[in-house]
Amino acid sequence: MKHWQQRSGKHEWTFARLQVFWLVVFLLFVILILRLGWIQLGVGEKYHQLAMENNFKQIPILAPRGKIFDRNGKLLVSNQSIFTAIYLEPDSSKEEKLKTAKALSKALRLPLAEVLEAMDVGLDEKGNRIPRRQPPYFPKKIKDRLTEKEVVILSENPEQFPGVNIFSEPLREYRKDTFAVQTIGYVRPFAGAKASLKKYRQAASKPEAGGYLDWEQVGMDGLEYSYQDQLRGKHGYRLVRVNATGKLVEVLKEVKPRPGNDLILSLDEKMQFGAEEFIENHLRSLRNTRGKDYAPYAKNAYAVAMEVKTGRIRAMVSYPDYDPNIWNGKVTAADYRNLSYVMRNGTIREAPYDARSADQPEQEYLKHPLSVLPLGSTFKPLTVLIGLNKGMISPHTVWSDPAAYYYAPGTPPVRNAGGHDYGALTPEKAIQKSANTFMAWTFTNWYRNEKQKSLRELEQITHAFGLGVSTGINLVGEQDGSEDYKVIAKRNSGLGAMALASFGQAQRYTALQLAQYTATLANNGVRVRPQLVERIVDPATGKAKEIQPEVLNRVPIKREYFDIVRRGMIQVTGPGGTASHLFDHLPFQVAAKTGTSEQDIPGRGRVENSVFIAFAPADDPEIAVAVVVPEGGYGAVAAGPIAEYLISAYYEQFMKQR
Amino acid sequence: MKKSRLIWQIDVLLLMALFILATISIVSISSATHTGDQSYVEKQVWWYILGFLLMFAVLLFDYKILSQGRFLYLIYGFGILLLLLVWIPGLGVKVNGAQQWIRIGSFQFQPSELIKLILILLFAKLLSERETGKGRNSPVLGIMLALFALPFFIILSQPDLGTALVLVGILCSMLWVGGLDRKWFAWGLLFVSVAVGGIFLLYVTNHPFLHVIMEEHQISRIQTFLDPASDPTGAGYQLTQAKIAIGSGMLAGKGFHQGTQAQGNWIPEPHNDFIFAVFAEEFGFIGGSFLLSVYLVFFCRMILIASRADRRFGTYITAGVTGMLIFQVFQNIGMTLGLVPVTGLPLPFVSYGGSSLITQLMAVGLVLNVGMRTENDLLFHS
Repeated sequence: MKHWQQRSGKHEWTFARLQVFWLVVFLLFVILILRLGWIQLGVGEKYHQLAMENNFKQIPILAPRGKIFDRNGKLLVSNQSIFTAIYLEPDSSKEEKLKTAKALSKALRLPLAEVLEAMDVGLDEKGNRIPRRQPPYFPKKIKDRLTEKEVVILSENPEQFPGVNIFSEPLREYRKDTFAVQTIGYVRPFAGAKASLKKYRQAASKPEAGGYLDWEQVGMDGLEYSYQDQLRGKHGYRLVRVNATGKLVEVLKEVKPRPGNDLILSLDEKMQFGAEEFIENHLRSLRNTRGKDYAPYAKNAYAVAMEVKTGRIRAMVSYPDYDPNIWNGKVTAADYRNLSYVMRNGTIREAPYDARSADQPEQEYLKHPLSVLPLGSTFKPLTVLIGLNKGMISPHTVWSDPAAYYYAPGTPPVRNAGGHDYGALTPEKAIQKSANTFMAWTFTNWYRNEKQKSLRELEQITHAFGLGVSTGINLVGEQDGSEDYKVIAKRNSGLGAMALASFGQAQRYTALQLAQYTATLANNGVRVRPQLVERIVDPATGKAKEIQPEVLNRVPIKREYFDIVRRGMIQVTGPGGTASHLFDHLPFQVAAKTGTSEQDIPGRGRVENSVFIAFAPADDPEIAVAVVVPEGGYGAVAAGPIAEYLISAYYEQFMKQR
Repeated sequence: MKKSRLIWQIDVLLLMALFILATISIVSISSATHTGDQSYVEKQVWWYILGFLLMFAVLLFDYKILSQGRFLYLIYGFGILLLLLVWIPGLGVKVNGAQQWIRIGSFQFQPSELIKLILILLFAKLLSERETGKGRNSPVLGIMLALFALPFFIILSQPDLGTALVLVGILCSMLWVGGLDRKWFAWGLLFVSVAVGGIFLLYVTNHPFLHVIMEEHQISRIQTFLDPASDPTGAGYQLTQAKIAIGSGMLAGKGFHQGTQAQGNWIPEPHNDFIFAVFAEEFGFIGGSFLLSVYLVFFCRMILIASRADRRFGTYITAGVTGMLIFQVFQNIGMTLGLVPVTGLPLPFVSYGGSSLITQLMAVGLVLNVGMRTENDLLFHS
């Protein structure tokens, strides 16, 4: 067998074979160049993108939320700077990532499961693959508020913590001395907020619209929520280059964040604070002083002081309150149970009795009224006003008090408090003495004349005063109260419903609604929007946007009828009035109305809530206040002094200097 | 011819190509180690100086004396001995899972590099003696296969598949130029095609017989080659990152020391097996194709030298060296480009390397020696 090619000449096939050899080499290189061209020119763009994702990470710099000041620029809410561990996932094996997680768990004293969840590398503690929540190249926050020791551990042993970088970021800081807590609201990380609030759920479903970061603090309640879009700044970012171990190599670009806008509130620091303190002491004294004013369950109070002409709220107290800094950390279920008794703003919505100290709070709070309760006799000025306007009574009406007024056969009569007989009652005197009989007489007559129409008209007029409708305040969760007389009219009798409504026992309103109603009485029927924010200031430019007072509606009732009601309310604080002991020291007259509303609590019987409204100075009103003390007893006793305090404080802070 | 005039016969183009490769090597190693151990650049310069000195030393004697006597067999025996020394504890060093280095003091080298050269010389001697002189009727093919098989299986067992395949490259290119009948190549090609095709078919159908003839890690290597994403942390990861580096270089590259993949340490073994990725990322398609062209010129000159040699011994040496280098270049670049499976072979003249660079430069020295000592264009005359 021939193994080798035979030679005829000396070299001829060697040359040929070398030529074939050269051809093969040439073809191999053509293949290489074509392949290189395809990778670099054909699909280079794709690899370029991959290289970018590999190497460049955009690390957001959280913008501090806007600060919140009182009307004089006193700082109420600010931000502190904290250290945060951010994880930039390196391209390493799952064993290495698990190792990092274990090292972090040890260094930060966090459970391994928690660390792995924060790292979001798609692994559980046993190293099994689980789905990721976010793309790998997103920065992940592992822990914030690192202690100095933790910062040292993490930064001194970088090889133990591949991918872990430390940045500083802002954290909301509230005053420890609890200032208007529920009004200002609180913040939580977006990750939790998007599960509970619609606004954030929508923002999360359209990331390009909101650009919210999971660990960014967002407003959950109060002004923090209502002014979220103003308070929220614009995040900056650092474009950094990282290496294969996820460590920052250099910062290529830094875009500074823009802090959110500052809010200048209408609240007055001294007045708000003073009121909070006064309420605390006052309630304690009511609970502890045995005697005729003893009110052992007076644990809650809701008070609003609102300027009559501008609608600016100078104090808004929902007592008790709490330290909202608690929301910056982990809130346990037990924490949350406790918070549920104090976190709601009882001046705009239902807040429960403070049952925290009871053995079984969940059962205890059911035995007590909520913050939204019948306004009682404080409704009477409106009853008189409607009576005058509808012609049921006239400014010159003199009605002889029967002491027990039978509005229908076979029903129990309407009596005055304490069974008093007030003799000849004029509209003013009926207000001064708070005569139930006069009110029932007026409204039942109205019902007899107009039947169902009177019910509809009552609803209309109360709404025009801000009762039973939104006051228009820019706070989340405001409730309208409830117009129980409509239900009573439907189920029982329209006449009875009107009788109860005439002295405020068939309708429940919030303290803010009462304040707006009082201001509207003082304003001769001009209802203005309550405002908590006076100015919105861009801290970068100093540009301010003033919030202007806004008239919501005007009630078409004659001025002289308002004057009659005002005179009646002035007499309340005068000699013989139900609040004659209050406001003596002030250099002006105060128009007021006391209220003691009764509620039947199943299993407990009847409780008396203390309600009080007032405006001052009576002849040229500037400030209107409304105070509700559930289970406070008589209106002039529990709620009255709080109203007195608020008007005095307003005088001190706003009127005296002029 | 006087020795002083011999130097003017040296192949200048080949030498120039070599200098360009050396420059590219220094530049690429600088990029590869910019964020790491920067001493590699200086060390590579020294390796090149040493390599060039040895290369010129090789030029000093006439290559033809190497075919004399039994000298080459002696060297061959020595080379095999060194290959076996690798297994002696204390001398042998394991690198990347393969037992292929010998360490004496602080000096490390790969005996498998040396055996390549020895085989080339030995094959060239046998092939040239086949048609002239004493080897005329000896069973040359059998002897060659036997001489080949011994180091081939030793190296394969280290295990170093890459280097073992280089030996196959040397054997094939030399047998081809040496005039082995075409039918052998036809059969060989057929056999390789059937084997590769068969394994591929078994792999695709996931036939149980595959697991009989191959080990698990070998199967996973096929998988990594066909689908690098299936193993994003191991060899597939390296390959993926290298490809990202090359691809993102696009037309003009990212610039010297600006390669994000290289500078971010994303490329594995950046100064060694994957150095082409570093270069192609920073200098783009322009740089990458320039490098390939330089290689092409380099090999073109080598083949010309082979064709002009006045002794078949010289022709065969040159063919062997060319085969060896081409195989390594294609294997290395093809690997980074995802054309062939990953085997750990450095890129000749460009990768950082001690003994392999030295061996390659000495091999080029042999080729230059052949070219320099060619009397006339004997292939076409006499």
